[in-house]
Amino acid sequence: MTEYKGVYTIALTGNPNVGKSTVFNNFTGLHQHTGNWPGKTVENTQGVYKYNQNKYIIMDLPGTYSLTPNSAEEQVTSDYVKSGEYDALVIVADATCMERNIRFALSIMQYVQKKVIICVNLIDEAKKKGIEIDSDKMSEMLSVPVIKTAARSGKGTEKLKKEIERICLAGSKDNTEAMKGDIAQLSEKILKECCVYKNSSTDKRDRRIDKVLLSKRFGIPVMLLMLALVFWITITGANVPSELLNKFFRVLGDKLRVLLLNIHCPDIVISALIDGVYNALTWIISVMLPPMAIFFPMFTLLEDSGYLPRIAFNLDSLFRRSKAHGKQSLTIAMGFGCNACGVTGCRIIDSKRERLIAIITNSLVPCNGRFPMLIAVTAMFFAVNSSMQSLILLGLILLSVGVTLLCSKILAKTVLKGEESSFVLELPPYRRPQIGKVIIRSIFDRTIFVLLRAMAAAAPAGLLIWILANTNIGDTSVLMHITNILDPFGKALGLDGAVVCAFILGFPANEIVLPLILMIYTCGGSLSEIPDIMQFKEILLSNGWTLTTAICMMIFSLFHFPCSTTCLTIWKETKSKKWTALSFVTPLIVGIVLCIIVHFISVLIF
Amino acid sequence: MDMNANTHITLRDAPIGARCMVCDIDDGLAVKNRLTELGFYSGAFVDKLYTGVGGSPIAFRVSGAVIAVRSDDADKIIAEI
Ligand SMILES: Nc1nc2c(ncn2[C@@H]2O[C@H](COP(=O)(O)OP(=O)(O)OP(=O)(O)O)[C@@H](O)[C@H]2O)c(=O)[nH]1
Ligand SMILES: [Mg+2]
Repeated sequence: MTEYKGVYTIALTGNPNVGKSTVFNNFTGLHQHTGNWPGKTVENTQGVYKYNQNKYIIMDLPGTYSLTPNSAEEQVTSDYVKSGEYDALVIVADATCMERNIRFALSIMQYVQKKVIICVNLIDEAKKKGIEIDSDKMSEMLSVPVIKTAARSGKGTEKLKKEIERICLAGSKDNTEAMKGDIAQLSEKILKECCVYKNSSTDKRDRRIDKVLLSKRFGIPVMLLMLALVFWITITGANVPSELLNKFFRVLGDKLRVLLLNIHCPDIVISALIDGVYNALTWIISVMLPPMAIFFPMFTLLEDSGYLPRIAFNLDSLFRRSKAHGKQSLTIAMGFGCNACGVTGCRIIDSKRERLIAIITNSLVPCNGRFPMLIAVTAMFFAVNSSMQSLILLGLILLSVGVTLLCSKILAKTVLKGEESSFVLELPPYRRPQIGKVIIRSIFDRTIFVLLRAMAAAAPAGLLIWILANTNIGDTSVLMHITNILDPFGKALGLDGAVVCAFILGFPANEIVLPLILMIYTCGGSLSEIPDIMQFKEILLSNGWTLTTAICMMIFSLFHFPCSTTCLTIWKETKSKKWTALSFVTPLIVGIVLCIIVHFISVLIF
Repeated sequence: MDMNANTHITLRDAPIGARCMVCDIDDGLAVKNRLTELGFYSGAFVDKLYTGVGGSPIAFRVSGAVIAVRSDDADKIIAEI
């Protein structure tokens, strides 16, 4: 039992992308997401750490450029900072961009005369760029403590903790005196006297990289190439582990069956457990896990490098033409990881109208959970080698982004009419991502989480299908009745009742749609082991799949209703039934219309 | 061009690579406050770095950071070069 002497609250504030979350993680040992672009954190987060018998509750606030709020989220931050409901306020500043950060710190100190600590972070990067900061001088001029840190490596953070303790226990000087006079002049004076720039220009390397990545000629081609490369690595890298896992689970399944037989388990239970639950679960793991475990870390590496805002820069003119916000490309990019995260991320868009457009259209791009489904269908029907598969996947992504733009435009012309707002985008410096850390974190935080969620959805769904398949009304099973009812609708879409049924049951998690299709087709006992991808194709073909079915399947995977988590998030973000409903039906309508068109064309041709 | 005479142009029309001194921001600009906080205040120096396809957005180096704005907004900022 730990007895704390005291409990103190501290808050972290500062411009976006200065390393607040990194400091927070360093203190608490938590793994709050960090990323090299402004707007990564959009929610207040609390954590706890212990230091010398005292307990500290630390708040990671979303980054803000000022205390005059321009959006609802900034209002929250600004109110909190002004409220003074904390024992210490740590203003985190970027040492490589002192001019702006000092101005921001001073604007806060006008409101908050006590309890302030300035943490000059990213001191390692500043040093590389030839920037030196005299923290003692600065501290003296402002009469607040100034601590230099490199939070990523942990340098200086111990000192910061000590200083926080001192402020919390002993209180601080009032700095009203130091803040007298003109803020602009004071910040200039501090800049002149405390910051030494040894090089005439500090960002040569970044500007050289930008010249290529932002160039009118190469910007977009390089982006497409990079995406294709990411897909190629995902597909190629996933093949071998997928096969190994598949083999392993088959052997394990046989062993389990024997074991259950030996303990005289009734046949019906064995069938339910192995053919129902076990097969659905392990199929998800072997087919879905490897691509997710590769795609997600790679995506995080791109995010960490500072490339994402450059994509927003390159694509802004497209979004402007669709009357949407330029930062929508950032929320789309987050949607590739997870649509629910993408929806929350829409908070970086200040204008309400454009934020709603971004939220409603977010599920039009496939999330990490849908990629494996697309890859599997591509591998079965369209392409044997991974280069072809990556190109097809790239094509599908372009289609989904195109549809996003089109839907954004339609929304902007109908239910969400209004002027396009201005947009201001900061392009952060390029940073070398922490490869090892990123891989470990994205596997543990994201992949395992998503996988557990999928499994939690798959086990009951698998069991349900098994029960429905083995309960008869008349001489046909309930499952058959259901798929028969859905069949006309499915057929109109170029699919069938089983696929539609699987999509409906896959509402809690898209990852389980493909295994559910497999189960529906094979329930009744024809499948005694987990098939590999080609056996899977045979099963699909024998159930009447054609090329058209496969195309419609991919289209419907891209465009149907958002998963339950995403729907819930949309409701939380919009607090409106109307917008949640619209977010639900928009992708669904797109999917239905496109599938009917494809089906119709194929009927005409064949 | 006579380099001694002060030429007033909007940031949209400033040539790439130019160092400009911000003189005035149109009050009609919705993001005026935001831009001021980011360093586009009168008397501040900004460098025009790159433009996107079709001339928008435009990236500026300002207060030690790189900020991109749409060309229509840049057109509302008067500068001296
Ligand atoms: N080299 C270096 N990189 C750092 C340091 N601190 C943070 N970073 C990196 O800077 C980027 C931004 O860090 P975050 O902690 O996400 O920044 P934030 O202030 O929480 O940003 P927002 O949530 O967008 O307001 C990440 O890529 C970090 O890895 C540091 O001391 N040195
Ligand atoms: Mg953060």
